[in-house]
Amino acid sequence: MRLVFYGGGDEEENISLNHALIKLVRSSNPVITYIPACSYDADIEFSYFARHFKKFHISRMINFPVDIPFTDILLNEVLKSDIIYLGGGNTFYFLKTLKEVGLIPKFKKYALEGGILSGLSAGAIIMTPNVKTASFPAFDCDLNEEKLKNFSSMNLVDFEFFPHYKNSIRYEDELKKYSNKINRPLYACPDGCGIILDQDKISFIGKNYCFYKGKKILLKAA
Amino acid sequence: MTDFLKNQTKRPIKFFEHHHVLKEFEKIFEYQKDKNLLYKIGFNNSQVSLLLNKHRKTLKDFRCSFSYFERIKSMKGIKKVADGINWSAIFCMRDILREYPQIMQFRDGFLTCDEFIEIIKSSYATKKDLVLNPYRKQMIGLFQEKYMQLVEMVAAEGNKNVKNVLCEITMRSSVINKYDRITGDAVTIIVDKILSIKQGPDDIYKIMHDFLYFQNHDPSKIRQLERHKIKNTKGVKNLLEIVRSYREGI
Repeated sequence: MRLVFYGGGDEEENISLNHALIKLVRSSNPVITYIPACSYDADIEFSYFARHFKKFHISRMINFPVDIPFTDILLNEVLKSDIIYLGGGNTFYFLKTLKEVGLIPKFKKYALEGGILSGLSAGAIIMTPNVKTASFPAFDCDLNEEKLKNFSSMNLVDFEFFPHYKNSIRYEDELKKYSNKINRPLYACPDGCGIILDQDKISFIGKNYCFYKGKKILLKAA
Repeated sequence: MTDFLKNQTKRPIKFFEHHHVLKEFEKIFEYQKDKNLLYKIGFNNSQVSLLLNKHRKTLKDFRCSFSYFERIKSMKGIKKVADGINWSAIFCMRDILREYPQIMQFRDGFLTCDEFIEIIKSSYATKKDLVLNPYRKQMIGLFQEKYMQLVEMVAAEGNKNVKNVLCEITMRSSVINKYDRITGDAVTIIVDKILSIKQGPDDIYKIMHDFLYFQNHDPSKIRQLERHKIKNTKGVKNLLEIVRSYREGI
């Protein structure tokens, strides 16, 4: 499996991660699909996304909002892409939409069969076992306006993910507390930082942290 | 009016049907229609100029097929609505202009007629409306053939790969032909909604300002948008939901 988790930030902040993402591609003329968390500003976000990835000589891109009707014609092309990039936004809304349109199993299959799945912030959380990390800390969390009760997600990895992490006491306390309740590592990534999973090899870009059983560990960058 | 001032008599409008000014008007009108269509497809200014100046015939043929789909109305006929009558269009041209360049980045041949109809059909269309008769099949063929010819001409002129041009068109077209483009119906409802907001003028201004961010249809302005400052608040979300509900209105 090849997965890339982005902690957040804009295109310029993520240039190292984007380089790492492109390095995972085996095709000479790759296709990237951008999947926004919400369609309202999808065209604007796609425009920034496409301009940025054009710098990497990628000339075939799909904008694929999932909260508006789409055809199987385009979905088939999406599932043939070299990279699927899940955008950032409200995690609960994004997960609810992906579940409603039946895309969670399809993207899971895509990743298990060799497609490169990547996600920024909400998109990255969705690749993990559940989206509980979007619901805390109270001072910086996604609103669950959709009243989503089932937080289970793609479950592609055996860790949880916390994006937009800021290395401060109040974040640290919240994450330590949460890590005591779970039996798997919780990776916390600030904007511009992230995780690359290439088959069995895991590497980190930037200053990332792991919270496990109430302890905080600084992770060594690649 | 000039004629009346000169001759002091009001002559019937038919008298002027071959007037050179009308011919000039018609010429400019057609030119603008062609120009607007090229813009809506997603070509940039220099590509629009190229196609208008050098490939007008291909463009006219494309417009012929485009207009055919644009004008077809539902077999349900005219319906009475609160402020008059309405006759629903069964094809959504914005959808095909937005999706077609995306899909053609990956296709070597054209879409099948069924695929084309699947993309272009509006929510008002019934099964009967969507029957594929020989003329409609011909128009689907013409649309695709001429669309791709226009793209190929632009690619050849700029020494670019056709797929690269399609990717550029995709980027522009997704902004111009966004799914939630505001309609007159939506404006009517939104005005009522804003008038009922019990907040101060500064708050209303902020909601409107942020709402307009989501309704930008000009790809050249994307870089000027302050995307980090915009918040999709509940007030803005309400307005966006109205736009979505009335996207196929008039």
